[in-house]
Amino acid sequence: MIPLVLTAGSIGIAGVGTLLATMSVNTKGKDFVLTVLMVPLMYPLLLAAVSATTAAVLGGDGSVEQFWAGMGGIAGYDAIMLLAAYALYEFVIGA
Amino acid sequence: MKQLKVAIVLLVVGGLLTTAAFFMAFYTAEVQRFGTITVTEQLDTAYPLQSVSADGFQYGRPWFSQKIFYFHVPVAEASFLVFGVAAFFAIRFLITKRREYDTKSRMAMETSLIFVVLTMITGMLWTRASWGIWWEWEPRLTTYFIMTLLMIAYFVLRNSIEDEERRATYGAVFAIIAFIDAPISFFITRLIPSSHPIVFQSGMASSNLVPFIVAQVGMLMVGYAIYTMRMGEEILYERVEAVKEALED
Repeated sequence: MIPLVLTAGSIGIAGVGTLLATMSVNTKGKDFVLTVLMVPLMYPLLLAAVSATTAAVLGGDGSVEQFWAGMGGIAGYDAIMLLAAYALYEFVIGA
Repeated sequence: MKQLKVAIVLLVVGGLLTTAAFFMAFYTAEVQRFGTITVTEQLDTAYPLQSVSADGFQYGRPWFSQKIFYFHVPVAEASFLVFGVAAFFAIRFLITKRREYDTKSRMAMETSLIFVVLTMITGMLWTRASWGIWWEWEPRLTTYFIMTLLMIAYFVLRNSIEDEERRATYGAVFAIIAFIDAPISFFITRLIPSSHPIVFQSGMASSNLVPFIVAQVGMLMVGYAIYTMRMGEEILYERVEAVKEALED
């Protein structure tokens, strides 16, 4: 179950991270700007992934439901952010 | 100049409407009970505990704390709406690449940030009065806080890019990505169990609805006035810059 969370979470981080990294490369304070942009955007993904990982590691009552609720959150985030990043990447490259 | 006059009129009318809503909220609106919050431990001693049940303590609410509803909710809805306008202009900019849309998007974002800060302040006053705590990490508050951070990040991003065209494009792209959070924050209390109240699900009496609508219209008028005034200022600023450049040549 943990590899599943890791894969799904990595897809989300890579999807929106690539877009933000491409933007922040052309700014004045590169690393600092990337952090400012990235941390708030990553927060929902992080919460869902932590919740799913907690359920997978600890187990116990209701852990399966909690795991799949977290995975649902990750999947929704991945789908929305990948679509948005896919649509907007062209503009970022073009500028 | 004509727009400025409209903006001043709207500002005055909006201010009068919000003031009227303020008095209506305190004099004509009837008091409704929206239920109580249950917590597992005593968090704060400012408000007395009502009863101790199997689930935990229950805090009693001061009856006037719900009056914040007539300011907090209109301001919050105005912030979502103006944020939507900013995202709309960002999309228009990416399609047309005309600079005026970029300026409009930025101005709408600034106006929205004012509303967001007001929402945060009024919301915290309410949670203090009603839940006994200043802040809680529950879904609505968390997503709204993320939205605030994203709006601030938008200005940080803009200020760290020197090339004008690139700044406009990146700003527009980030505005669209940041706006994804707004509908999530708006609908999350209906999807995930949350201690933030949803008032409009059960309907309400007209004595409550009228001051709410008056306040909402007033807030939107004030928001439009701020937006138009900032737009006028920005256009003047750009003309001064153009004149400066022409004098240097």
